Amino acid sequence: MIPRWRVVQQVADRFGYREPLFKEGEKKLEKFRDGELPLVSLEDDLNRVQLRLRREGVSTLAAVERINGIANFQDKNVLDRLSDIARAVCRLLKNGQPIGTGFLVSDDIIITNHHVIESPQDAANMLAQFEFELDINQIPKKASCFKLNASKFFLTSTLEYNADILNSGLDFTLIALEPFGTSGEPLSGFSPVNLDGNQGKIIKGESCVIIQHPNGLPKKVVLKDTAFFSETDTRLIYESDTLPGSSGSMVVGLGTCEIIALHHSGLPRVDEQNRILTKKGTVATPDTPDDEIDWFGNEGIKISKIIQAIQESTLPPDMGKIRETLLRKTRVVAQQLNQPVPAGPLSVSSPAKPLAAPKLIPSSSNELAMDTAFSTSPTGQAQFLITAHNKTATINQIETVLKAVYGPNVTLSLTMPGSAVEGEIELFTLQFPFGGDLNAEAQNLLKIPGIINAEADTPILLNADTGFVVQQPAKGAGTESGFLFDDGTGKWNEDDFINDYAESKYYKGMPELTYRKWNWAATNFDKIRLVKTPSECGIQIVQFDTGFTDHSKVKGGFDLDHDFNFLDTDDPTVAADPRTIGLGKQPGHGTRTGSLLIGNRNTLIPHEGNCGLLADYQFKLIPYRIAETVVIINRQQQLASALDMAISQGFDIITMSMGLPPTIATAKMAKKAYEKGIIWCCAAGNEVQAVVAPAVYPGTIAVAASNPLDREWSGSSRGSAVDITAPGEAVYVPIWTADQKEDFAYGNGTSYATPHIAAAAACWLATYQDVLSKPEYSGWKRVEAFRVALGKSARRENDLPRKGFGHGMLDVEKLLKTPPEPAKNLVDAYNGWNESAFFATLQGYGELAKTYWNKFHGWLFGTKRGGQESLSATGDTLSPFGKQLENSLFANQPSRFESVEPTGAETALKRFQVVNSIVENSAR
Amino acid sequence: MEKLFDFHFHLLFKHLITVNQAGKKFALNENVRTTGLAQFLNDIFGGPFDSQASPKQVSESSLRLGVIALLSVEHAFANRVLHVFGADLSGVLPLDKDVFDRTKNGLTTYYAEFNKQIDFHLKTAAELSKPPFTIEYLNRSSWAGLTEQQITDKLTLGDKRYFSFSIEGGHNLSDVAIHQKTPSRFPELKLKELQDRADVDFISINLCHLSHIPEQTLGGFAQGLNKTSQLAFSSEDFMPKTGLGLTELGKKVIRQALTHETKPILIDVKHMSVYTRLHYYRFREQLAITNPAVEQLPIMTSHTGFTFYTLDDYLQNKRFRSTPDTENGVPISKVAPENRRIGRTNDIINKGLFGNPWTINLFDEEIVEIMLSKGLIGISLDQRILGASNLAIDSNRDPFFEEEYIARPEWEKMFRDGKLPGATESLFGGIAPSKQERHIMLLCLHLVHAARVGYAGLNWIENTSPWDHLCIGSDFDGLINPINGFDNVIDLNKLQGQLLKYLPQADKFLPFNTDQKALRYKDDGTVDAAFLNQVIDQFLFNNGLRFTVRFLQNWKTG
Repeated sequence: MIPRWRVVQQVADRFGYREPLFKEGEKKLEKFRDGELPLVSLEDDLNRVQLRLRREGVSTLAAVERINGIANFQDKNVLDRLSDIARAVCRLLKNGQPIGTGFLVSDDIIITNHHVIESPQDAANMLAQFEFELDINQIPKKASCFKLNASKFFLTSTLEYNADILNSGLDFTLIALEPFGTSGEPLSGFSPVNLDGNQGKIIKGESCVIIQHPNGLPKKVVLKDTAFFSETDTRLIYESDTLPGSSGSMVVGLGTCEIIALHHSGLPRVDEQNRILTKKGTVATPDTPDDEIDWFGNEGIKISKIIQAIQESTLPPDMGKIRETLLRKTRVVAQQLNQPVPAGPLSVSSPAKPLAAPKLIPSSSNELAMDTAFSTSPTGQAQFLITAHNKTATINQIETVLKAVYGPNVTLSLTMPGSAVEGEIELFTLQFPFGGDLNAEAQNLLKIPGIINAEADTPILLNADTGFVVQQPAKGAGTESGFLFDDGTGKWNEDDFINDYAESKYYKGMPELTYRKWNWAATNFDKIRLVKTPSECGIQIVQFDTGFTDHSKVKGGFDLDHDFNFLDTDDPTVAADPRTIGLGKQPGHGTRTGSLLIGNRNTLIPHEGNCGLLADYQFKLIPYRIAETVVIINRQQQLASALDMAISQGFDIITMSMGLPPTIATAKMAKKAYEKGIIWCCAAGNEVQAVVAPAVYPGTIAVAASNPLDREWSGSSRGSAVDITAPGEAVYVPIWTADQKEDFAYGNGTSYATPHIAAAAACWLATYQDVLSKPEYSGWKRVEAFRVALGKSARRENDLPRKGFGHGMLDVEKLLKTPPEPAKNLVDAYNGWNESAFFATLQGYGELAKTYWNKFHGWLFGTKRGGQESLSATGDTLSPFGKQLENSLFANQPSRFESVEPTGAETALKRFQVVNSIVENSAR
Repeated sequence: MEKLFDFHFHLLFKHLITVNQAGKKFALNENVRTTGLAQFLNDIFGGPFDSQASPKQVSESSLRLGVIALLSVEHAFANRVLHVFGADLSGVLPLDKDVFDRTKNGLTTYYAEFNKQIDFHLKTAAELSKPPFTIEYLNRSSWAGLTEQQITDKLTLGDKRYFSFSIEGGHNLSDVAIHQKTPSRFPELKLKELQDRADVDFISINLCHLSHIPEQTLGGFAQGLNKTSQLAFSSEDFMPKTGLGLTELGKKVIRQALTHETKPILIDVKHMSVYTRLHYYRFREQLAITNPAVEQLPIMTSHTGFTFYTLDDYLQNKRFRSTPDTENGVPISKVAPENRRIGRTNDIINKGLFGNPWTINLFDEEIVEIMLSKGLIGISLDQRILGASNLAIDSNRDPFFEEEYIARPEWEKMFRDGKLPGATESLFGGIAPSKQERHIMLLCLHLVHAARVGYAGLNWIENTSPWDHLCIGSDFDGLINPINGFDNVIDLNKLQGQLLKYLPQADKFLPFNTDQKALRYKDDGTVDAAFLNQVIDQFLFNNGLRFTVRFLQNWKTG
């Protein structure tokens, strides 16, 4: 047995640096208790929320309501259930002395901590004592004692983590018991509590119960203030009182009555050197009494991790069979969780008033706020994007091997069937039932002959509308820009604009209807007269965004004959943005960015000002809805389908004011669009400094943002990939106010810079259509001709930094006087782009990039208003390979063991930048 | 019988893509003929390689008016010509390797090849204008200023044969390398080039043809190639898999075709998928709002068959079974329609007759739609399109017909739930022997069906009838398998007699719309012979004549 002090010190060493994170969780919990936050928004793991909801077995909204209500009301049967479960808990005695707690997890196997039973030898002279508890008359019941039998089954994971040992550091021991007790009583009289390794048994903020033998006392249950509030990769952090001797006890999620963790230790507060502190603030010593130590909470080992360790352990054949009994429940539940959620109206079963169940704004869409926000694939059905040669023989062969490995339910299909070319390396969508680590599996897929690259198609947070939540990572607390809130509403902020840009030549001495259109003057859009309009030439722009709304500014400007919804909804032919307000929804992004292209000239909206750059030409923008909110894209497949459709329809220009980290799929998409001659205008990115995907790829046009002083917007991404800069800071766009009235505000983002380039492209293509329609300008040459003209005509008199902002500011007047470069002089942007090196590097680092990206953006979107705390996508846990990689990259960083923790947005961002530059440089 | 009109045939196509045994081009007065093994193959595949409407055959026929479809050979045909059961039999056929090789390897563009077709026709025009051919190509510009009567007289009096041109397939407008990565972006400008030409004129264009053109998607096409031919050419491009209605590019082409100031070109809906056809009917109406002249331009199909279903019945009652699947990494959907017994013959063994319910054929609502637009329906003489199967005994069939491929997105829209897509719903507003003899019976059943559907669906004023909108669209020399007894254009001379015999029988046996007869009957129940003769004349020639006159008057009359 390992002494308690060493256990606590080990906990302190290992997790001390994460204290800020734990504190954050603690703070949220307080807010929840004060009624400022709904329960479901404490949880930042979307997948876990979704699975938790599924376990309720009712429609999502009803489940939300029920879970939110659980804090106050519980069905009585929970008591019966707890009472049953409690019978499985035993006290562990060594030489007659109590040393810990354990509980029965299969017919004859108990689990406890490694620090209670380290080895089979330790088990000698030990007994597991059941029913050591008081009856209702406070009289001790007759307890039953069973000897331990390590030779039948023994599996342990050490207290300390050792990178060389698989699944070490989980501090558990599983050991068999003799079938009959010391008095001949059968063990079968005690029902085991089977472990369920699936997620979603509890979400942050829900209560948990610890059933234990503290200090070796008769069985106790903690029933007060016992919420789960934070976590690490392998541990859950929760409140609750425990004492020595509770080690190895069960932690039960009250909402589901499932075991969520194996209790392991208290979590002490520490100083900067990870020294344990007393409540007085002094440094504690091994002699400090327990109750003087300043406990943060308790921590337990996640059952999911223990199940994974059991699964991956190497056992003798006899024990291997027993292992199956330990895993059975996990498999059964995984299947159940895959069943569809019952649809249905809001349940009224819970008498508790929901604290903040997501509101639904009336809309024509059938989307439910929660359902679609979490439309990630449930556990069990994994989706990957792979690249392979598009040849019948190759595909058949890959499919055959996949089916042999993953079973008959494998589907492999072209991700972009409409534009796929036979014999080329194309993107494929791969789907099969799978419950494990998706990132690790993506690496495994590479072993299958014919698969060139593979990545898990998991949700990715989008870099789109961060401009309104200007947060300083270093300070750790966000400040709003005073423009927009995360529910998509905002307020008119012209005072700020005037304050900030009093010296701007676009403002000084100008009437308001002029300076509100400063972006026109900065790009000379106010000076152009078109001989042939884009509409007359049949030139169309597709907008990849959140869809359209009926804001008067943009009403009539969207092409509703060709809109398309690529989300998983009933009617794909309507790209309306229902402006659903719910968890993390920030509607209207497509409206704001779209207004810069097609915003009506005159409306009755108060503070009327700006209008669309193409508004005078009867131009209609085609909305393709690829994301429900600007926060998250559920699957890259949706983006790919949109691009495929845009290509097969024969559209000319795409404007996309949303960004992703570099991924294999987006890289393939950018190249495809380029080959097909589509001018894909992409926002360079906000707040991350590095240019995001798809802007970062050679094939797209990357747009950075400037402000009314012709300087760079501080939040704009920058770098060699940037082609051009356009107004993106303090651009006048339509919004709704908090009381749902239409208004305007000055907003920031490369999101707003991008449509300027799309508009310029449309005008330029129309002006030179006669030349550009010649076959020598087909394919990528068209894109390249535009890029060259854009560069040649850019306005170089500006105060932008000399590097990283492309050729300077867009000057559309000069652009339209710049004819296409002779086709023979045009150079393929992918010359000098080492594609194989790029993909090889991305294959390795993609997972890290995505994880850090999601961490950073999850933090970035965490705003205070509306009670919606940060959302983060799933897939935040690094695969073993990812961990190794991270280890090698950031070896001197504190998080070398459980790297994925958000050690702070700053670290996540820095790490993203490091990984991103490795990936980007690999191609050059 | 004196005169015939054929809405769709190929005059010189085979001369262009074939060579004789000496490797030389066939002379204009020669028929393309297969011998030996090639002849054997020709017979197996139903005779597609031998000439059916060569200039020589035409000169011996009653054909006086018609439309010659021009097209360049698609990649799907050129890619693997006749690799049957793994053996390369392409060398056996009298094919011009150069044409096929440059198409296969992307060394040319469809537009360039199409222009070669035009050039060849124009170059040989002088020779073909002489006897015995006496062929003259029609061009609206040289007929301008003439009255309706003058045009009619000129077309009917004298010995000349007058043929218009059509463009079979939008692929002919692609100016990028065939089947390579680079997409064609300006097909409408190519079409404009053709329309602006003074030396040639086109009456119509098919937006689609038999195969998927990955470098230029204009709209969904319907599977048309039969099983044996698919085996022969073995290209996945023959099976519709992607696409949802008209693409933007397709609309640009249609807009260009219909709104050209002086030489509008009709859209031939043949080969479009059913979803795309519905999309087109709707798009045409929208176009007519901004361009009223479009209203004057009829909807037409040059060589079709019928499904003998209303689309409403077909979809709502799911007269098909279908499943989505993935094939070689591509999401696909196949639809097997119910076999539709459309009539019978007096042949005791082989009594039943079945249509071809594949969606390449027209649904009843479409027949009405075309008549309503004063359009023309050319009935194909391809036995497969009319519903015949190659089996000797074809009287009983499985409940389901052979599967056809439907593009997955279109399948999702119409077939999965069996409903009309929302946007097009408003379109229809809720309407609803010997082997040789069997085939002519099939043709007659088609005519009777169209006439009955037309009578039932529209109000006809005096001296007009559904019979005004039907004509022959043989597709001769279009690699087809003609109905028995009508292997080439010369055999069409027999058509009148056969129609006289079988039309009344078809009107008796067709089990649909039975309260609405297609022919007229006297009080004693006998067929009104005058009316019968009249409708046959209309079908064989007069409808085509009137259509041609309208074309030459640039659709200002009629």
